[in-house]
Amino acid sequence: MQPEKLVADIIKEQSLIIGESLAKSRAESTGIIKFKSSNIEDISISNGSPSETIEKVVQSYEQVFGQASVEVCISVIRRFPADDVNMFLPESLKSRVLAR
Amino acid sequence: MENKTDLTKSLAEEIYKQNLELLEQRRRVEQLLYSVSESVFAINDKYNFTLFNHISEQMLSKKRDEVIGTNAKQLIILETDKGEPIQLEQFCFQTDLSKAEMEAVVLHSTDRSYYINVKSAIIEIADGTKECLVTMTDITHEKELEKTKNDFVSVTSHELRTPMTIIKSYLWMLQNEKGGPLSDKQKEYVEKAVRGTERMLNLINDTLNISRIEQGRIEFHIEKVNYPELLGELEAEFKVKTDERNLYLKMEIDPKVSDVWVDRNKLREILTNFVGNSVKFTKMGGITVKVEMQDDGMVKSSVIDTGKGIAKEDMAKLFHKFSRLDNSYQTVAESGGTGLGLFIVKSLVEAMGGAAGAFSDGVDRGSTFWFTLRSQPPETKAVSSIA
Repeated sequence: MQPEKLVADIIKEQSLIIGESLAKSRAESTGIIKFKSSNIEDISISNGSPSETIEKVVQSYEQVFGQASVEVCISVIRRFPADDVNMFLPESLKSRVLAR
Repeated sequence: MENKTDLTKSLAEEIYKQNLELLEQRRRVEQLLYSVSESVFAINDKYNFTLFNHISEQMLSKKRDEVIGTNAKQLIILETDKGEPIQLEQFCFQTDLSKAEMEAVVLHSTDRSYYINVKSAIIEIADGTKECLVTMTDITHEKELEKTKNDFVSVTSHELRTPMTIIKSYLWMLQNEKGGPLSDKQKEYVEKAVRGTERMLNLINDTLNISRIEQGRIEFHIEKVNYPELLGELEAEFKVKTDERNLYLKMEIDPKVSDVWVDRNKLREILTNFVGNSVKFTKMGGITVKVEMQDDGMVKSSVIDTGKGIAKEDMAKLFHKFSRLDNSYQTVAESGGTGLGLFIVKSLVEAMGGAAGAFSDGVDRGSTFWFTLRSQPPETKAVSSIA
């Protein structure tokens, strides 16, 4: 699985709660994520390891929307098989994702 | 400044939590709808899918993720059982509830077709927009059973009619003493057998007619018929019966009425049924056939009698199959009815573009049976078949 898929799903889920434009702008504020088209799932990741990207994306939402937004990110990550996503997860999230 | 930032963050977090709660609620509702045992989908004002449950997935051979956001008009292909296309607009976003549902329409999927009943409801979304929730109930199995039943009834009735006709013929010969003279007792027995045979044949013929109506196998030869003339013929035919029973039979025909566009034989059947019923259920007074031209160009005929009348609670049973009313009106043997006549008559009237109904002020207060006919040629071809 590509890390872009995981990041895109997190952004898509956040867009259902805070709206597409805010979800995109928070993701872009990381400086790592770019949207290649108007499709919210069409993203590219530059200059960052998958775990760093995910950590920054989660933090970008947490900074504005608090802990509830982190829980939403975790619920998205949990939709994937653990073996597929473990390698992309930052240490700060790993234990929380695995504590199902 | 610090406090202001904290306040903004708290507000953002609070709004986030509220929105998250709304999203979870929506998902719970979607999950419920997803799990129901009927096909349920929703469309927005652009007719794009916003909801698509698992039965819809099965019926239309498409996954929810494939169709959400796509246009429903491309996937939901509906038509009447005569093959006329049905547009989603015909029942979606309808404020008139009678238009918001359709029965026994055909849904074409990629690999098969279904008979379905379809119902729609308008849902107001919180932001003021509207969506339409559509439920499709698969009635294919019921339709197949109905067809099997109709085929069985049709074949059985045909098979019964032949021996019954033979019995009737031999009884006629006996009754007319072609095989030698009969004693009075023997005449009485034969008379009863003839009456029973006639009732049985009537029932078989009515059953066959219903079977034909339900299978759309009755043909109509629509032509211009001089209605006052036909009513005159009918009056002469019924005069014998009404005179026998000391009943009056009056025709009140609006001078504006002349031609009607109908199948002559079917119209005779309709009038014979209505007037015949009135004669059967009237012991004193009589029957008036009132014919008037309506503003909508339809000719309304009312058969008004001073007979037994109909109780309020029985009105709803009229015009249904086997809907003989309470035996206190008259026994089956007395009336000789099958309980199918009114159903057949109403079906015939409707197939010729009219409507039929009845009303009564109650038991012993007489009744009025009415129907309407076209005074202008129908737009369709002269030969049509019943739906």
